[in-house]
Amino acid sequence: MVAASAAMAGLLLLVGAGVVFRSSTRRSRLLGLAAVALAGLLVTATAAPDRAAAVAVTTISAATLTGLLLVALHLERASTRSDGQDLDLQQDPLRWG
Amino acid sequence: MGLSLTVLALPAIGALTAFLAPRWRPAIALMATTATVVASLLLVRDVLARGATTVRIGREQLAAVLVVDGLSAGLVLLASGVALTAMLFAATQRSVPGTLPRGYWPLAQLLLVGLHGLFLAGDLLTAYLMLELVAVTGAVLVAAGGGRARLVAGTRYFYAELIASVTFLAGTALVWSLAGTVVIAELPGRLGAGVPAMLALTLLTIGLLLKVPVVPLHFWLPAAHTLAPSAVSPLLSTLVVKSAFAVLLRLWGAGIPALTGDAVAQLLGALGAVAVVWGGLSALRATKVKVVIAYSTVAQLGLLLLAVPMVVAGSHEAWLGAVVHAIAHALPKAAALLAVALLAHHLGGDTVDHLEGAAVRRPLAAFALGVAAVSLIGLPPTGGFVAKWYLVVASITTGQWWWAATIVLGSLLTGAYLARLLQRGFAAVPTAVPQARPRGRSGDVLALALASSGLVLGLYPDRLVALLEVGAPLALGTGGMAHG
Repeated sequence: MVAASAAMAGLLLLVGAGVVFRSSTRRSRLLGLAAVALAGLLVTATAAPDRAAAVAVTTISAATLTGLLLVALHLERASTRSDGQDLDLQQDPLRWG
Repeated sequence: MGLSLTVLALPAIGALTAFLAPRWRPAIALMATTATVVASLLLVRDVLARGATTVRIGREQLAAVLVVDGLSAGLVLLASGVALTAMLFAATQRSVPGTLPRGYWPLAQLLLVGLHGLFLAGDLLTAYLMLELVAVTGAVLVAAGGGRARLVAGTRYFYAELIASVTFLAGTALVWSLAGTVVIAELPGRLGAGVPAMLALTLLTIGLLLKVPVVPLHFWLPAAHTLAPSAVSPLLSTLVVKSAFAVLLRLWGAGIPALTGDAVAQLLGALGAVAVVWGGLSALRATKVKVVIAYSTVAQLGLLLLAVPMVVAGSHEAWLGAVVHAIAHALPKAAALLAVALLAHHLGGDTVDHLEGAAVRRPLAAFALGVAAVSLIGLPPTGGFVAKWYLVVASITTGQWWWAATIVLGSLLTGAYLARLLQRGFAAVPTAVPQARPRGRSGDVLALALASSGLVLGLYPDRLVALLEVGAPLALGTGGMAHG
């Protein structure tokens, strides 16, 4: 069970990370991040030694990962608010200065 | 128990109070951080007097474990000291554009809570939560500096941290499933050396390497560190990068059977060596001063990673060298960043060419940069020299001489790229440039004080080493380390 969820989580993590750094639109980056967060939750939900610990640790992980996704959403929206365009994460910001 | 919680509670209270009272933010933050420095000093005194202790908070299975030893006390004191200096710099230079991001005072204190938590963390779940706190506050401090470039740099930094955190979380969950505990000190007896254990520890290590970050996972660092506002840069370049390394060192120094394999440790050392060379060469090619310093950080982090194979081989000197380097690098690096911010503002630009005549036009800041450079290169009698001496001795005693060669090469490269800055700074002043007098020297004095503390560490290393010896891993021959 744990091995299967770890394998699934690993796959989700890789795909999500790839999408986050290769995508040029806000929506697909947020979907990639959601996949990454789901990967973390998948492993924590199945790996805890007992049911009570699983509930506790999954709650903690879900809360922190939701917080992180909200921060990501805020950063993405800050870009749209400033000039109406999505961020281009593939460009090196050092070249602009 | 009291002091380890105090160094977490004081900046947390300061952050909350500063958030609720916007008009008094600088005063609240400075008071809270000064109190944190005092508490950190008392923690160091306590560790020297009583030895290492472990503090458990909460229920049995989900208890947070804090390890109060020489490593954690030393790093906590370093973090609060550098944070106080950065905040004093922020308070005195806040009229200078590019110094302060929005929400600096509460965010910087929250960052300090996360850093202290990471340095003290004795279990993987606490480490994960603190890594998240450091990731959020660090990235937002960069992104909130203003402008699209900073927003992109901060977002890239945040996404890299988030992916690293989830990787670390997956590793933590697997370790828990296999060993029934996430307390690092309990893992050697409960986590085997099989493939599942290797997979779990690999996930933990990759997550931490992305956070440190080490080449080739460093893609987010140069932009984030270069574009960070000047009161934020010292926190990122000297403390945040060390926090993940502290967890890595605790994990690899714990003597977990799956982590005593020489091949993987050598691979980590090789990554460190690549970082030393790549970071050094990139710094040599850079035209902006803060980019030089950012790549210098990549190279210096590589030096930390070089210690891992020697630590795994049972070298106490390697462990000491790595921790002394983590501290000795932080002080001059913070000094250099403050000095460069002052020089860039005063000389009207941030390229290496703009430094021309800096020694005449802003002598105190230029002198601080010079003193910091001596420490970063690792020349005697500085803390950087002490750290490199330990690492070279470790490489010889463990028979891994190739790391000594890398350390020497790294020092030569550091000397070369910092000499570029100093050569410009001490060159003749162009006659056409008007000689403006600096307004206020408090920033210069802060930079010089930090740079000088790197010298003091080198002149009196005994006290630091005595502190770091408390609770340090003891050599067990070839099989790894155990906490004593």
